Amino acid sequence: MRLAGLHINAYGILRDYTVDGHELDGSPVLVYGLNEAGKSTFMSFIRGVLFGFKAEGAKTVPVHGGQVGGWLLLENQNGEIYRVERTGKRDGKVSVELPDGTREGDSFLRSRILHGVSPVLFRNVFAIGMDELRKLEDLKKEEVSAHIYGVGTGVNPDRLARAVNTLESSARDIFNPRGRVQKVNALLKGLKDADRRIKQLEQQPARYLKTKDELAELEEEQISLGNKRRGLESRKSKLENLIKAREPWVKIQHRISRLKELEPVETFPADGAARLEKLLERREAKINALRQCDLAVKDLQEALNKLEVDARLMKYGPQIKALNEERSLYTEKRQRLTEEEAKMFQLQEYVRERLSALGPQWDEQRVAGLDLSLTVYRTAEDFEEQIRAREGNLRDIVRKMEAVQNNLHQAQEDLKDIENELSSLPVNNGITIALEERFTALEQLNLNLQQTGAAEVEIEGERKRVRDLQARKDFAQKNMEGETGYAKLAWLPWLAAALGIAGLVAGGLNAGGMLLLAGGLGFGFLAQALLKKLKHQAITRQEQFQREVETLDHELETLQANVIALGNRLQSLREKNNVLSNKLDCTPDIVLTDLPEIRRRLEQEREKQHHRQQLETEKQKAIKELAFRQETLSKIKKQETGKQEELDRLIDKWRQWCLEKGLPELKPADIVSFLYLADKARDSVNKFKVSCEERHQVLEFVESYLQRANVIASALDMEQADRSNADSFIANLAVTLAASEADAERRRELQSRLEKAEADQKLARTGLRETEEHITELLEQGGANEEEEFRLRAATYARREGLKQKVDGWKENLLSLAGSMEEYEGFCAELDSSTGDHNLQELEQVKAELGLLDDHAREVSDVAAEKRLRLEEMEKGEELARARQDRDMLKERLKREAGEWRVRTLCSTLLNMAREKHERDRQPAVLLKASGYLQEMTHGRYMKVISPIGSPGQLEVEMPSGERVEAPNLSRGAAGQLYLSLRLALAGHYSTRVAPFPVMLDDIAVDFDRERLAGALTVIKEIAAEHQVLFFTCHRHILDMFREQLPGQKCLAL
Amino acid sequence: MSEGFSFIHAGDLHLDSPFRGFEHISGIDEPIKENILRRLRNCTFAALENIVDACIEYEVDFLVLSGDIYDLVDRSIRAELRFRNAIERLADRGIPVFAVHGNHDFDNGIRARLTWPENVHFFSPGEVEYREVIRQGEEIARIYGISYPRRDVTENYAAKFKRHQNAPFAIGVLHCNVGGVPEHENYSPCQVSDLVQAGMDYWALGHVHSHRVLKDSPCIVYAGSPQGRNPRETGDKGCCLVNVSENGLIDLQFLAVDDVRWTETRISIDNIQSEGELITQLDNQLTGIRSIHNKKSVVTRIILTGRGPLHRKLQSGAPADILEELRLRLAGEDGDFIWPESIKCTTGIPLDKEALRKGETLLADLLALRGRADKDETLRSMLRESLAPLEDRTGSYVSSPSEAELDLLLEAAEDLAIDLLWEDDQL
Repeated sequence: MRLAGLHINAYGILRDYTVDGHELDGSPVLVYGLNEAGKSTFMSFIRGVLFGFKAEGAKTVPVHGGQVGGWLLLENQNGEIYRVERTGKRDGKVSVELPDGTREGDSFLRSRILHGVSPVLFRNVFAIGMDELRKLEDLKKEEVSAHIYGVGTGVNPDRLARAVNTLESSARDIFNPRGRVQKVNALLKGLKDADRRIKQLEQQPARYLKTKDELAELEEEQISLGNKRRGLESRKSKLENLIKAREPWVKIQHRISRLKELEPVETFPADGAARLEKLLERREAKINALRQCDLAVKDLQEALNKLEVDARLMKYGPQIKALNEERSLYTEKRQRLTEEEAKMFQLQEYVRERLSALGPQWDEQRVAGLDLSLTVYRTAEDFEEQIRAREGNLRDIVRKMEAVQNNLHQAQEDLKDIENELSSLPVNNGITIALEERFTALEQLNLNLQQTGAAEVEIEGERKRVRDLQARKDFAQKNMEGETGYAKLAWLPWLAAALGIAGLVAGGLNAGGMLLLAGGLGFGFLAQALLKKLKHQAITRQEQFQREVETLDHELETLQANVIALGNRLQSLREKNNVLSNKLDCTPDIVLTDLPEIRRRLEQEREKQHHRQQLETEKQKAIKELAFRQETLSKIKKQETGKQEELDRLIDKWRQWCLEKGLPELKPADIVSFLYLADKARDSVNKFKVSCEERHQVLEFVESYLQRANVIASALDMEQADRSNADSFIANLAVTLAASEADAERRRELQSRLEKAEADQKLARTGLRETEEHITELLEQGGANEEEEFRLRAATYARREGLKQKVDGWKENLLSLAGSMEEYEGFCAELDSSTGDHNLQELEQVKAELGLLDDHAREVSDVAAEKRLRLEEMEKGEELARARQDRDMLKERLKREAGEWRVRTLCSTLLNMAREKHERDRQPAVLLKASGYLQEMTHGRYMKVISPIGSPGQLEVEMPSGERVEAPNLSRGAAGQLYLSLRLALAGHYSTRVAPFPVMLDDIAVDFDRERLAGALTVIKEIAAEHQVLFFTCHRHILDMFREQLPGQKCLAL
Repeated sequence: MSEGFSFIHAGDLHLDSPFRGFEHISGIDEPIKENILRRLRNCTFAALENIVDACIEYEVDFLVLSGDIYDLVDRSIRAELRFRNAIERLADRGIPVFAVHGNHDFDNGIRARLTWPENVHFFSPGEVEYREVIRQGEEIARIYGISYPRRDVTENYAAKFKRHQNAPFAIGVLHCNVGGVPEHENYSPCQVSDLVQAGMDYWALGHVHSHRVLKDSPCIVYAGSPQGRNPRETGDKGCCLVNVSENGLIDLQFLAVDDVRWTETRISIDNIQSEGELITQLDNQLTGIRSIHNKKSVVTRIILTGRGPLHRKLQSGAPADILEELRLRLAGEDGDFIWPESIKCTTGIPLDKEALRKGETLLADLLALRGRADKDETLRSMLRESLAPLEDRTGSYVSSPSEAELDLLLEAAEDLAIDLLWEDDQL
């Protein structure tokens, strides 16, 4: 669209202001006017007409009165003119007159002329003043910025910015070349510390070896010190011993001199004196003992002679003792013999009684021959059990048979009852159609009657609509015919013409006539025009009525066809209803209200039918039950016969078995009792036999004892004993025998004692003789002839020996102090050659030396122990392993963190590279175009306009060197050129993609120097070749430059 | 040989050598932490004790150690003494030990002058020597070995070995890199053919930390390290029990003697909706780990894979919380443990990166640049240059990334860029 003219009724300072189309021919057009001339108002008016006056604010208020408003003529690419008029307060009323003369409203303006361009976009792109030019933030608005910033990145600019920020901050948190607290930096510090510690610990092998060597040296020194100490200890010990030995040494010398003074008794029997005294005492004792022995022998010989023993009684001693030992047994057996005899008689009586209980034919022999084994018992019990079981079975079957007979009778009764009830039920009244079919028919009839009713209502409605449409058609036809009324006025032009001619004729060819003629002709023309208009309107209305009639005809046809179809359907439904009524045995004129009664009747019939079916089923069941009972009874009877036969066979078998076993013919239940009685009888017989045997044995013993007692009585010439006193007889004999035996024992003892006394007597004599020989021998050994001399020599010898022993004792002492025999001589020599004082002095010196040596040895020992401990620690310690483990873990962590940092850094680097590439290769077309304009305006000082990716709303310009300058850092003039370039590029972009509009620039070059103004005008000229440009200015130098640079272009003065 | 014999072949004990790749523990009670760290400090010793126990249990005739018993650079007296104690235990049972020194314990280092029991023989450095193994007056085997006189032996020591004709059964003990295994230094490099040519019946090799049988006849075996010491040394570790029959046939049996085991636990977040669900799945999987590994203590590195909605939460610090929760559940103040060492997230947003790379958006440009960095050396240098400040400062602690590591870093950077720039609503 280009602006082809405008008219301002009243708007700000402008009133009744019109710009014709020819004034706006060509592009660009310079609109020049001084301040307050109305340039901004002019632009504001155009914006106001297009988007409403309200947004333009106070500028709209007419200064010189009148109604706000006016119109614009906009010409499209095909040369068609649209007249856009807006008048009235606030946003005013819009009217768009189309090229064909028709009019449209606001929506047409917005959609078809403005193509949805918003006021903001228009203000920023097509109608720019200095204010708009400098408002960079307006470019950020979505519909504008989408064409400038980042649309092509495929990434939300905010997200990109966040990503860049995240990458930078996270990498910075991990590592900073000059930082200390970042993860990598802290880990490096930790690692260096760990390395230092490990380095120290790694000296362990060298330290270990050194410590080992030092320990070996210390151990050698310890040995050397030990040796030295032992030498000193030895000397110290010797000196101490010399000091100790000094006193015994002096004593020895003194005793030796005393020995020399005593009589020499070199040898003497050991303990000679004591031994002599003991021998003398022993000789005295021997003499006394011999005397005692003599007396004892004499006494014993006398006692022996006084004792005498009965030899005949002693001969029968063993027999008497044996009988005496059996005496109590004899007494008991004699008593038991009486008891056994009584018992035997009693048992004999029992046997008689039990045999008679078995029957007259039964004796001991028959009872003994009877088989009373457990098998016989079991067999008898089995027979009894089998027979009892079979009898029980037979009884059960008989009871079962009775129960079945009762059931059979009951079943016959039940069947009779059902048959009676069935015969009492009424039979079907001759309807042949199945009940369920009638129910279906009823449902179908119900549906059909409803449809019939609905069809009747519908057909009635359709008929009513036909009538209405017919009435509307008649009305339309009537109206159509009425529209020919204009023809009645056809005479008017003719009348006017006639009047004009008449006037001419009447007035003549003068001015009056001509005037009349002209009036007549004018009237005629007016009448003709009126007539034509009326005719046009009538024809239009006729056409409308005709269309309405045709529409109504079409609808009528459709409705009538509907009515026919509905009629057919109604007829069909009624026919079906007749058929269904017949099925239900009803009259054809049945209605919906009759249906519930029919349904109730059918339900009753269904219930009766159901009852009959149930009875029939029960009857069948009763018949089956009866047959089943009869069959069961027959089976049970057969079973009863079989069981009876089985029982009979078993009883025969039982009888046969009794015969075989020699048993009387008894009932199975009684046979066990019989066997029990027989068993008892046999037991009594056995017991009787045992009792007889026992009695016999007791009697035998008693008789034998009596016989043996009487044999002894005969041998000793004593009176014979009988069964009653045999035991007392033996008892008396036993007492007498015991006394004789005691005397014999006493005699043996005395004899033994006599022999011993005689031996003692002999021994005492020998001992006395030997003692006297020992005394003589001892005296000879002591060099004495008699006992007193012996005693004197013994005393001298004992004194000498005492002195010698003391000397020897001291010598032993000296020897022990000297240590060994080898050292003894030297020891004595040293005692002889030294004095006690000497020894004491030297001892003090040695002790002092030892003290010093011990101190040194302790020191060495402490150091060695410490070294051993250190070695042990080194051998067992895991500090190194722990430190190394810590370091490796730190290294691993460092590697991971380093990896994280590298990933972020590489990502960041790749992102920067991608941004550069994108900024370089994929900038939006708007920026490319703007770059061209800017390059031209600035004569190549700035080559490119760039929207940095990830920095929404920011603009940069790039110099030929590649250096970039952010928009806020540009000079006012350069920034103006940048924004102008951008807006011109946007205008071009919109014009090609959305809709072309005139570009209006209101003094946008005020900040430009002459050179840049020239550049700007060059660009404007370039743009003006494609788009209409209105360039407003109030500056003379711009006007001059415009004229100079764009000669021939229109200049509109305000 | 009148009857057969048996021996154990172990190597690369690296006694008292610390666990590598184990990150500093934080946020856990000190007793629990100390229990884990103490066990890790002592696990190489525990493995050695297990080897000695195995020698005693199987009543072997001798033990062969194929180098790197300890690390000289670690200068650990404890290691040498503990080793001597183990030798003494074997001496008490009359089991001889034959050992060579490898690149880590070469024979001229600073070492405690320990008095070794008579049952151990260390082979001489630089020259092959042999020892006869005598049982009941009869030679049952002849062991040939050579020790490293220095760390970097680049000479082919295998060529120095030559079997004597009268040797009843010849065993070569050597620390070497057969076929240039890239994960290990190429010391004493040789080929299988070199070893075959020496005429040995059994090659007891050391240096490579994973158990490998290079050839069956002659039997050429790397026993592997008896204890894994870094996240790469996963699975069971141990030594070889070698039974030799009277006619010289070899029966080889691997004995797992490791004390603590390294594993990797991988879980895909593809179908996981919440952190709670992830913890439950991890808990279940980790609880089952010990039964898989004979109830040994386990250190495991959790690797989360896949693409799903949980990825965003994992990027916002959730793994640290999950790790702490799992550690509290699975480790105690004493006894065996399952220790989740770390959680590595290789998860991502569910999108087609290749399709995205072809677009004209900023993110597409970034992805295209990253793709170009695979081949464009100039771009690669520029990217490397951006990392220089860290390397300047960290020095020897953090080496410059290798080409493969740089690729991984770029991959991670690419994923990070997607995380930061990709809008969820674009999904």
